[in-house]
Amino acid sequence: MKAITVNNLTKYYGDNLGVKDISFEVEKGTIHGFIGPNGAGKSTTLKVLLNVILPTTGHGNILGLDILHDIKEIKLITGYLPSEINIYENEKVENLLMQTLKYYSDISINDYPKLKGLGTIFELSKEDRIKEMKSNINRLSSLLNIASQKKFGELSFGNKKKVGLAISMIHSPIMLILDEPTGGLDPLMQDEYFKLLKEENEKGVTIFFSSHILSEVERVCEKVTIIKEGQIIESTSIDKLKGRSIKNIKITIDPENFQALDKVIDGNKTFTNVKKGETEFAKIVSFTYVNDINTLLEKLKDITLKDINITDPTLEEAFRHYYEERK
Amino acid sequence: MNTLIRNDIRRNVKTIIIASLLISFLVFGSMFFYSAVRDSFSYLEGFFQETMLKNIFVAFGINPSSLQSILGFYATYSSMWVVLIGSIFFSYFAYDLIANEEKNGVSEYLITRPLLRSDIYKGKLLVLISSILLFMIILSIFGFSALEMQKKFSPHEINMKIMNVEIKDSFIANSASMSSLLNLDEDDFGDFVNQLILREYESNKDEMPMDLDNEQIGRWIDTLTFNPEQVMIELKENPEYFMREFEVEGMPVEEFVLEVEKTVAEYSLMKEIFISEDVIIEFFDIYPEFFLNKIISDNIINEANRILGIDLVALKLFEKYNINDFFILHINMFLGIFICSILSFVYGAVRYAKKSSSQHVMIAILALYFIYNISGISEKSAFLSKLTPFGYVNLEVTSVNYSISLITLIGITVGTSLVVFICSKLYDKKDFL
Repeated sequence: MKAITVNNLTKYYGDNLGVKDISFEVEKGTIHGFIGPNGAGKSTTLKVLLNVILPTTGHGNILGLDILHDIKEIKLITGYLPSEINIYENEKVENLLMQTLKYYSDISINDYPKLKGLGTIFELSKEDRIKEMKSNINRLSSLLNIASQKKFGELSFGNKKKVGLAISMIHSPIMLILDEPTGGLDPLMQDEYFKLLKEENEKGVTIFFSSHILSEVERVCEKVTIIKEGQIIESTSIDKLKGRSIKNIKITIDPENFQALDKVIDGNKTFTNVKKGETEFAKIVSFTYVNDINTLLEKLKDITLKDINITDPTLEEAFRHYYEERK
Repeated sequence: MNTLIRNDIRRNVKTIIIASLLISFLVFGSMFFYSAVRDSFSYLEGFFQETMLKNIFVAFGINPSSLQSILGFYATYSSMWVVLIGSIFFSYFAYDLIANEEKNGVSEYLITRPLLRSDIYKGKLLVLISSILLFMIILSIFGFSALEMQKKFSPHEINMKIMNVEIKDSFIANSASMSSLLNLDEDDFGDFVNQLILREYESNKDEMPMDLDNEQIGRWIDTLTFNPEQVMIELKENPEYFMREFEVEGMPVEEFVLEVEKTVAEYSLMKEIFISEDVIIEFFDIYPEFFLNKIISDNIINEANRILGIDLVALKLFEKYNINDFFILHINMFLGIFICSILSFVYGAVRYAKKSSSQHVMIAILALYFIYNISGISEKSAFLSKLTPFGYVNLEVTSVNYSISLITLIGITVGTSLVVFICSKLYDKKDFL
């Protein structure tokens, strides 16, 4: 059984296109990245899965549950993190977490026969379930360093995000759907959070998350689905993408050494998107490079450079490179 | 769903109680003006005679003639504090209740809990209705206390529903002593006839010829009050005019005059009986209210009780105000607030919330109240009252047979249920953006 299946899903907001006729699958027990530039339709897709918005046409299911008919069941087994987290501003964080817990405490598995055998906490007795959810709250609060005594409205963007992360995991979901989970988190907290996600994944939780940062997806995902302008470009394993490390490189060099550099760059297919310019004192060359970075350094070792700047490409640049290569 | 309801109640209960207490205090406090208004009522009455002034009062929902009765006074003040302010408050509240999450961007959190859209809709509707009920209970307690405190300043009113054969019989059996107690004279007979004609006119108004001049009738009634015989004289002097006015057809003028003369003779005979000790035997059954009112206005209830051998106050034939009318008044007020708030609720459910939307709701309610006010100015604009929820709220507690019509009640129930149902279907299809 697939964890998520989406078939021919289309969503229009009035006349504006959200996503058009997209189909993809997510394997059970994997960490699956959903990547695309801003406005590509990532959030739209995730929101349709959680019944936040309704699809114009098309259907899908999560662990065999239909997204249009088994709405409650899906919400019970899934943890969802919106990209912008807003909860009742005047409530203390501590109370918000407890209120969220209460939505799940009175659920009886007998009312939801489709959930039987999925290994959710709803198969536990009410006491055990509440105990587990409370321990989840404590664990997540200390791990994510959440200020429980503050009012939600007083928190910074990053801290709000952390509360959102905790809320998405209170009911021990077996499926996590996360919309840009690391946005607003500092790098240390990002590491901590990805560690947490990997732990959850090892316990069997399927994780499907969206991002517009390629390197982030590369770090944790096994599979990735790429979306652009409301359409799926490709669903592939991360190893294929990883084979090519894409870098933006900008070299500043004295004019007398330029000849030597030019020889290295010209006519070589691993250098794309080459731009040359010059200032009063130096020449500047920028290009996108796809290959082992050591090979490049080897080639440059005999040339005297003034400065070299290596950065991750934006997703747009990475895609452009990706398409050029495929042609 | 229970968690949602609990949370919504917890978040709003304080506001509801504070608002209820505030409005209740306003009504409660207003009741202290009752004795003062009643004391100077005769002065106010002259003031209200001015047609223009009267229209202004009517436009504000104040019926001057009802201010004398304690319940009428209560209803008049309530129409302002409870119906207008209550409707605005609860409309605002209803809108805010359903649109709260959307307005504050919390709807994504809410809809990703294990809830269906219909759970949210139903839950919030339940919270809304219980809040209005809570308000009405608090208001009723304060209103009842205020009435009980102020009722000593109020005259007794007659509750004709209590009138039965035993009471009637004891009046007739004691005709002689009652008539000497009442001490009726010729002026009283004038009043009696006048009121009787007025009552007949009021109850047969609809069957009267359409082109009958209301002002002319008013003048006749005035003449009747002042000098009843004068009308008879005028009738005899100019029979053709009256025959034309009343559309008396197929009767020779002489016969008409003869009839009038016969009536004049009857009138004189009746006057004789009226001031005799047989007055109760002959006239009580025709128009008991007149005699009962006389007992109240002459302040001779105790004496009358002694003669009749029954306690008219304990029997509730005489009472300060009618508790049933009190409850019907509150049901009416509830309905007004209920309709307004349901409209705001579904507006919030169907539309995407904007920061300015709650102000739109308030303006809309004020506009509806304004339409209701202008509907009272003239008969031509009366149809407007059916376009606003306030037009279905009957606050005329002093009118005879004050009640709430079953048809209105069913109409409101069916109408609001239909609106609520249709909007719930639209809400089911709503994207939580």
